[in-house]
This record gives sequence, structure tokens and C-alpha cells, in this order.
Amino acid sequence: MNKMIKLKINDLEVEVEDGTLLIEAAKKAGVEIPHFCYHPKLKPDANCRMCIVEIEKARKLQTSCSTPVTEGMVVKTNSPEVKEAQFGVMEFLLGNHPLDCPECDQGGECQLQDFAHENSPMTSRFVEEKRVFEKEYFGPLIEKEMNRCVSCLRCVRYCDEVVGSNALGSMQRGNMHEIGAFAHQELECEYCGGCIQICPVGALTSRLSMYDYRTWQLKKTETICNYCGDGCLLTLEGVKDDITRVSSEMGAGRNGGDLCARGFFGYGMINHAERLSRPTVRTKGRDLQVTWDWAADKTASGLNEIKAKYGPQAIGGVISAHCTNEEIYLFQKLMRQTIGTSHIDSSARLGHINAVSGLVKAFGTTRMVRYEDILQADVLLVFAGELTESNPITAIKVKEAVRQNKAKLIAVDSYSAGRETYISHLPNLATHHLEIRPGTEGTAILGLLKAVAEGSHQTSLSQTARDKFKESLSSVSYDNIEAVTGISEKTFREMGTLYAGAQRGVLIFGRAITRCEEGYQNVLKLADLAIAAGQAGQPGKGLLSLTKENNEYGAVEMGGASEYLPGLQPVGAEQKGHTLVEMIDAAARGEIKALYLVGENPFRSLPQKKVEEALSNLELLICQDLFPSEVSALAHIILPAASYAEKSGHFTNLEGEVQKVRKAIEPVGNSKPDWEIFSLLERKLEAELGDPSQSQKLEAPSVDVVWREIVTTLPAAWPNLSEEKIVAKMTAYIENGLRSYVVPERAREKEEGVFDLSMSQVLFHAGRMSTYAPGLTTLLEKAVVLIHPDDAEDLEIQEGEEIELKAGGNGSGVTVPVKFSKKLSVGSLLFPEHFGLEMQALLPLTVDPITGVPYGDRGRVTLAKVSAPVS
Amino acid sequence: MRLKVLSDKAKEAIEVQFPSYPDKRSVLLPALRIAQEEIGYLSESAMIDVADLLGLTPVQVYEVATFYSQYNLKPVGKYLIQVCKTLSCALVGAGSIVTYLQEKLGIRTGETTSDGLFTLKLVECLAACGSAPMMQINDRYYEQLTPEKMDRILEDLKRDGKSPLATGPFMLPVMGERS
Amino acid sequence: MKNGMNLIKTVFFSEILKGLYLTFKHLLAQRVITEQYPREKRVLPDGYRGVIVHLRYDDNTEKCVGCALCEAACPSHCITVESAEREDIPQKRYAKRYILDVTKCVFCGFCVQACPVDALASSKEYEMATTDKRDLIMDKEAMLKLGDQYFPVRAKRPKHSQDRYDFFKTMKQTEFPTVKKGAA
Repeated sequence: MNKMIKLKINDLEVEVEDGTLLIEAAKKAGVEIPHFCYHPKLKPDANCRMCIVEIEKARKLQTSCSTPVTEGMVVKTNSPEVKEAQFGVMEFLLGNHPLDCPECDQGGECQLQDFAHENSPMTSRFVEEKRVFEKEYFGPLIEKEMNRCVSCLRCVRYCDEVVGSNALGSMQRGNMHEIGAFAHQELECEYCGGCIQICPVGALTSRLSMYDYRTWQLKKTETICNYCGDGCLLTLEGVKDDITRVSSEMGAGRNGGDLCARGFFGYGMINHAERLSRPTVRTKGRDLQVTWDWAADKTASGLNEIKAKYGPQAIGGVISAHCTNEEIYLFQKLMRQTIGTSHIDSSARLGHINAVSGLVKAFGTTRMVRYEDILQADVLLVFAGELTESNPITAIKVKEAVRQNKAKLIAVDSYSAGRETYISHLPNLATHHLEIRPGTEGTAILGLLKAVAEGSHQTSLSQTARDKFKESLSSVSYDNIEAVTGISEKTFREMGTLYAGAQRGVLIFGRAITRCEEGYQNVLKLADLAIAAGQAGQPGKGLLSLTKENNEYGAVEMGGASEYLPGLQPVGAEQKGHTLVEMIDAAARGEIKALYLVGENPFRSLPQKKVEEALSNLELLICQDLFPSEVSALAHIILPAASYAEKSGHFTNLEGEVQKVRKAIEPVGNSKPDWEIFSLLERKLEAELGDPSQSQKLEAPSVDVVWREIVTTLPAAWPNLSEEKIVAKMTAYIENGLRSYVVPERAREKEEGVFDLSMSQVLFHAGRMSTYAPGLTTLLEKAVVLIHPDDAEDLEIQEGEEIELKAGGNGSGVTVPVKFSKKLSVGSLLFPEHFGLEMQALLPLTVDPITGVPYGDRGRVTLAKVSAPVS
Repeated sequence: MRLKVLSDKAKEAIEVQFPSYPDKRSVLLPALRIAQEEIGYLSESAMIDVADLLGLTPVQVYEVATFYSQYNLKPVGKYLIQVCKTLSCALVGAGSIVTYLQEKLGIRTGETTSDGLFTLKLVECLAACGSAPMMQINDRYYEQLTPEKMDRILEDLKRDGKSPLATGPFMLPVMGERS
Repeated sequence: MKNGMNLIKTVFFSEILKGLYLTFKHLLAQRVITEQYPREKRVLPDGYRGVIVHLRYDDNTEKCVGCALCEAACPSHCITVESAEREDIPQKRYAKRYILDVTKCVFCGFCVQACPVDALASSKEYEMATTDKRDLIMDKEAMLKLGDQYFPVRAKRPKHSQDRYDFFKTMKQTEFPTVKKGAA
């Protein structure tokens, strides 16, 4: 706690912490000082001179945004002298400002408008011509109107200080000053929309919603974004039932008002024309659009028929982790209780279950690290090179920790540290970057673990535990590790010492661990590493698993996995149902006769041929989704679901924070929220089973009732364990479970002409859903394969040219255009997973023996240039 | 890292400067000067090269290059005419000097004559307020300008490549030199 | 005495006569004051507020910029504005759809006052009787047509700022060729 300081502002006594800026102290006292360049997120710049105040005994007027408070200060913000100075500043600002408020999208929420009403002389002495800039489209999504600019440089500073993409600059000077990108080119940045949000005037506005609204027409709803696991608070703003804009209130929510391209520009899928809008029943090849009642009857009778014929275990269900906690809970209840099957799974199976199983085994909880802990950490060990792409807000927190709080960042990944345009890239930021060969994460962890176990640092670890670690690592030699990963022993030892010696060390791991081969084992190794380094079980220390979908934590905790009941209660081994992969296998074998797929599309994660064969084998396939897909093409019953903007509920983000989702608009078309569909089906099923009272209940219970049921019946739903419990669990884990580690023998040789292809997420898309958002497809419309420019030069490929990729030199290839990216390491290719199902066929699929996670993100391909088409 | 247009010599000259400054970014001004000396002006590729060398983004280099009038973002003619437009000169008629030059050379400010000889540019104060209005052509000052004087200067330059009316370059004014 | 006068007044119905004085005056004066609408029409005062119409500039372009301030000012919520970007002049706003529901309109003229570009005006049109209520929901075209009819004298369009733009362009110290990225 800092020293408190007393001062007087306009005769009001106010007490604030030492180091507070005067403008903030005034705000606390309830005095608003007009300002443009000041913003709580940014460092003081004092360039607009609007916030000047009179301080007793100071010779001149001072800018309150850059003056820290001192004891006994006497400040006046409304003396005639101050007013005159502010009038002067305002007169200059308005001197060049056009009178286009009626046309301007900022009109109504414009700071210049507000302050001009209070602090301007109402007439101007300027008779000269106003300065005029040509209007510019500032990239595909941002409109730039420099005439309106007040040169506060908030956008430039936000881009540099918060986002770190340094894409905006302030050009020229004086009268001709303007904001722009390099050489008046189109902007090529992260498109986080931060500059639009932070602009106090209408100089930077969104082109996506240009002129679609006036600010007073907007109906605002605070909800949670549904793209990634970061759990950002969004304000959906819409005119009537049409979402036209997204914003995020400064400082609110877990994201603190920062958004990414997906959050800011990705709302277009909500009102997309291709949304499934009517329940459809397919009989004898004909699509019948039916009422909800009929569709529910049909579904219920179909399920009951199969249950009667083959038993409940012939039915399986998979739900998407984009659904709310209530929906996943209701779904598993429907499947497990009403139908009686144990085959239930969710899309958390595609990777996140590795993290949950591993962390729960080692620590008993997944909730260890929150964003605040990242900010306060002094060493961050990150196993996610694509952090900016996969979880942009976590990346912003990491950036803040490294830049502002001078944390050490150790990045272990297979990207190179090359700078690519204006998209921030974690290895660039890293104080220590370990560029390992693709697919050798497990070995790299062992390298660190060995360094930590053999190091001489002080930890709370007992000597026996230490010896255990040493013993289990006895067969591991650094020669092997270096041969496999390409990182020297010295580096591992240094990094190990650095991580183990941290006051607060946070370990973050992402897709490269959870969604790639050996995922479960690697999570356990990471847990071992954290335990050995003493970086777990104490406040501010621990592990954080990144998630791709927004509610993967919730999906597992609500029982959306075959091995867990709600509240992470393990299912007995004999009652354990099939996982997603096993369900598809069982369907292909004919054991499973009906599948209920809620928002989950196995075509995207498993080999298409096999999935198609399995799904066509089914007697009943129910598809409940937002958009038509490969599944809905095969489905017997299609139920249109509502998007996150159209329902209420709760999402659990990657920190384990449970946040409320609010309904912004009515469901589009004739769709229904998933939870409503589930409770409708439940009533129908129970009515058919001879409980006629159920059919009388036409009204679905409200979603709050479901939530109350979850909260009251599942006290252990959120295993937020105390430190002692975590330590106890940890100790028990070390005592019974240390295995001896082995380094894979072969050091992979670099073959000529063979590239490592990996599927990964790109910044502008998340899953399939975002490809329906017009804003995001403008940024990245179709599939491109990324290649390092050096490789391209060797192969004589130009940017935009098409290449053919083949797996192992046989079979049919896939043709895609290339794009250069310096962030890749030489000899690797990267393909955005959101496009092109064909690419998956090139990659081998393996299934984790313990958690059943399908791994199909990485493979090796050969590459050939397609003869250039005649243009 | 491969550079696009800067030679190895220029790269070396920039890298030599690194130890003299607290961080790499501070080398930006000398680096731009070196690049400009080599190519004659700052092309986009030259700025990207400088950015790569200093670990900046291109736009951070561009900001600085557009701020200072000493950097040329377009190729300039053999003689770069920089007319002072700041207060002292403006009060005694820098405006009419510029108009006269524009008409005489047939170009607007920021442009180069078609024969590639003259480029006209407006700059901020060149610290010769005592003898305003003034201009600088390449490294020499020409002060207390009148239309007739300018005619002579331009003719001299065309004919001989230099003009006796020039003063400077100098760091400090030498007493008694000027009549 | 007073009572006597009152009695006389009562007997001779003097109050009634006084009351009917005006009636008889008009009856005997022989002047017709009923207006023979629709054969003859009244001259309306200048401040008369009839149907709201849209105006144009002298070069036939509509004045409205689609700012929806009229919609915000309207007390009876009878105006709906949907604005969009103009296709011919990028980044210029215009009203893509403009609906005035005359059935709801109270002819208060707030919208006329709110309009920042004087695109709206109260016409003297009052003959809106119709057998089909849908006729009373006017779109922009109908309003422009009425505006043309009632306000034949049009304001001059403000000069486009191209000159000023050229002027300031020369002031710029530097500028790049206007080739945008991606173009050849």
C-alpha cells in the first residue's frame, strides 16, 4: 500500500495514493477535466494541452494528465485563467475540424463534441480556410478521416504500448500532421480495432458498420465472446435485431477493454443469411421444413425406437464447447439420465482433455493461474509460439508483463523470431527464445526438467522428491536431447535455472502441447517441471492451459466428456463410454445407431472418408448447428440452434472464470437456443416413456433454473483448491507416480524437399464459424499456405503462386496459393485449419492411448510448384 | 538478413554507430542520413532496410523521415532549393519568393524541373533570420533575396554550377564578412 | 325599481335577443362565410405546417445526408431512417431508406428544426385523405416529389472542397506516388 496524499481540488479535499496523476485524482473527487490524449491505459503524453489546470505556487498552468499529485497541492480546474487557456486550445482544435457531426459515426459519443459544448467560446476567430485531407480507406476495415483528427496520438500509442504491433505512425508535422501506415499503404496489422475504440473523435471508424447506426439508436448488451478461451467481455450493440457493432468497455471484464480482430470484427456471423433457420426433417431424400413440436416429436420417437431396438448404448452424443455451461449440463443429463447412454463427448476431446486430465492428476485442479498472475510473474515460460493468433488477450497480458513489468519470457516453440509485417509475434518479444524442431516439445521439456532437477536452486521440494526426479531422469542424456531438439545443454541449464529461480513463475502451454502427439504425457512432464522447479502450489505460480474454443473448461467440468461426470467426478472404468473417435469407430462397425451432434463436426477433426462412412451407417443422425455443414448434409433431422448473441448462460474461460452470457437479440429465424431444445426433447422423451404430465409442460424452464440446479447440486463443480490441498495432491502425485523418462532415439534428419506441415490457427479466424463473418473473411478470405521466404527463394516460388502439396510422394495432392511469412522456421509450412478439408487427408492421424485425443495437425509433405496459369 | 537496396558499406557505416547510442533506435537519424547519402533520397525499400537494421517497424522509420525536411522522400534535382517559410522570412515576403520561384521554374513546391536541375522545397527556420528572406541551395545559403538576385543565382548555377552570391556553409557567423 | 327592470327584461326575453344579435346580424347581412371547399381553397398562412417534404439542391441532388437527427427529434416516432454509404461518392452518407408515417405524424415540425442541412421542410400539403392507409406511409421519393412541387426555388449546392484540397496538397512537404499496395 502506497502512501496516501491529501490535496485540494476546487476546494474539495481528496485523498489519493502517492503517484496518482492529477487528472485521476480529480476524477476521484468528482471533477472532470477535459482531455483528449490522456487515457488510463496509456502512458501520459501531454500533447493535447486540454487538461491544463492551475496549481497554486506553480508559475504556469500545468497539464494534469502528466503531473503526479503532491502533498498539500491546491488545484483549480475552473478558474478564469484555466478556462481561457482551454478555450484557446479548443479554438485551435476546432479551427480545422469539419462541421460534419451529422454524418460522422462518432456523433453522439464524441469527446470533442462533449468538451466543445462545455469548453469552447462558441465562435471562432479563424477566418482562414480549413485544412483538407483526402479521405482514405485505411485498409479493408478501417476508415480514416484525417480532417476530424485532433492529433492526440492515442491510436498510435495504443498500437505501440498495448498491442505492440507498431503499425500506426504519426506523419508530417504541424498543420499537416496525420496518422498513417507506412508510405500511405493500406494498413496490414492485427486489426484488433483498438485504434477505433480509443479514438476520441471520428477520425478512425469501422468500415464494417459505417453509417449503419447513430449512437443513440444502439441497444447495448454485455456478453462474452465465443471465439477463443480468453473470455473477453463484449458489448454487442445493435439496431433492432441486427448487431451492427461490437465494443468493450475500457477496464471492464477480464480483458480490460482490449479486443482482437475476431472479437471486434467477427460479429457478422450472427445475422448471416446462411444461418439454419428452420427445423428440418429428412425423409426419403426429401427435406421437410417442420414446426419445432413436430421436429422434437420426431427426434424423441426416433431416439426411443433405437433405444427399444438396440438398447441405450446404441446412442451417442457430441456437443461443441461453444455451448454454454447450462447447455452442456443439460445435454449430458439428457444423454446420461433420460436416454441412459454413457457415450457422451464434447469438442474438448480435441485437445483440452489432455490438459484437464494431466493437471487434475498432478494438482487436483486446473485453476492455478489468472491474468493477474501473468502480469505479476517475473518469469514466464511459454510453450505456445502462436499465442497471439490463438489467444490474443492472453498475449496482451504476456506483452504487458514483459514490456511494462520487465518479466523474463522464455518462449519454447518451433517458430523463428523473424518479424512479420505488423502482427506481433511471441518469439520476437521473448527475452529467451528456444527454437526447437517441430514435434520435439516433449524432449525440450525433458531438457528443462533435467536442468531443474540437477540444478542447485532452493525449492520447497523435499530431498527425496528431488532424488526421485534425478533418478527418473538418469537415462536421459543431453547429447540425445540436443540431437533431437537442436538446443544446447548450456541453454537448457540457463533456462532451467532462470525458471526455477523465479519469484513467481508462470508456465503457459497451448496447442503445441495439448493438440499434438504425446499430448497427455507432455502435460504431465510440464507438471513435473513446474513441481521440480517449485513453481506450483503457491500463489502466483502454476500452469495455464490455453484453449481454442470458448468454453472448453466448462465442457469438461459440466460432464461433457465420457470420463467425467459434472464437477470433474471420474466415471468408473467399466461405465466409461466411448470418446469421439471411438464413437465414430463404433458407428462404422454398426454398434452405434444414432448420433446426436450439437455444433460439432467430426469431418473437421477426423479423416473424412471414415467419418462419412460412419455417419451414413447410422439409422438416426441429428444435427444441431448454426450453419449448414457436411454433417447437416447427411443428417436425418436438422435442428437450427441460436448463436451466443441470442441466448443466456455462462461460459468458463481459460482461467476458470465463470462469466455471464446475456441475450442481445431474439433468435434468428426460427432457431432456438440449445438449452431450450434440450429441455424440449427431454419433456418429449419423458412423455413418450409414459409420464404424460411432462407433455403438459409447454414452457421451458428458464435458463436461470438450470444454473441454480448446477450451482446447488454440484458444489465441487469448480475445483478451486486451496494451496495446501494442491501441495498435498502434488506430493502424493510425486510419491506414486514418477515414471522414468526416455528421449526418443532418432534425431530427425532434414530431408531435401520434405517440409513439416502443420495446421494452425490464424489471427483472423477461429474454427469454422468465423469464416461466416464478413469482416473476418475480408481479412483472410481463402486458404493460403505460409512458407518462409528463404525456402520460397530456393524453390523459385513467388508470393501468390500455387503449389501442390503431397504426402509421402503418393496419392493426390492439394493445390493452394502460398504466402510468405518470416515467422516460420525454415523448412516448415503452416496452413490455417479453418479452410480446406482436403489438407487433413495429407496429415497422419494418431490417437492418444490414454485420453483418446485425435492428433492430426502435423505431418510431412513434399512440395511442387504448379505450372503458372496463363494470365 | 538480406537488405534490399543498401550496400554493405552503408550497412557497416550504420552498425558502427551502434555503440555510441543507448539503444539501436537512437541510431535512426544518422542511419537515415547514411541511406540518403547513398541513394540520394529515401526510397521505401531504403527505409525498410533501415527498419530491419535497427529492429523497428517500417512505419517507425517513416514517421521520422516525414518529420524532418532534411530527408527527401523523392529523388531531388541537382540543386535542391530550400526556401525558409518560418516567421521572420514569412514576414518579409518568403511567400512572394516562393511564388516567384514557382513561376520561374514552372514547378510547384515539392517538385523537380523536367531537366532534373532544380527541386523546390519549403523548410522550417534555417537560422538566418537576420538576413531574411533566405534560402539554401544544396549546402550554401543565399540571403536577403529579391527577384533579381534570384534570377542571377539561378543563372549562375545553371552556367557555372556555383554562385558568388552564396554564403556559408558556416557554423557561426564571421564578423565583418558580409557587406 | 331593480326588480321592475328585471321583470321587464324577463318578459321581453331581452337576454335571448342579445344572444341572438350576432346570428341575426349575419343572417341579415347576406354575406357567405362558408368556404366552398374543394371548389375554392383557403390561402394558408406562411407558418403553416403541412406534410413534411424532402428538398433538393439546384443541381438536382438531394440534400438529405441521412444523419437521423429527425428520427431522434420526432416525438411520435414516425420517421425511420436507414443510412448507407453513397456508391458514387465513397464515404459520403445518404439515406438509403427514409420512411415517414403520416398516420402518426403530429405535424410539430421538430424534424424540420432538427435537420442540420435544411433538407426537410413543412409543405402546405394537407389533402392527404385516402381510402388506402398504406398511401400515408411515404418514402423518400414521394417526399422529394412533393418537395419539388412546393419548393421550386432551390438552394445552391455548397462548393465541393476540391480547390482547398489541391491547395493543401502542395503544402505537404513530401508525398509518395499514389500507387496503392497491390496495384501493379
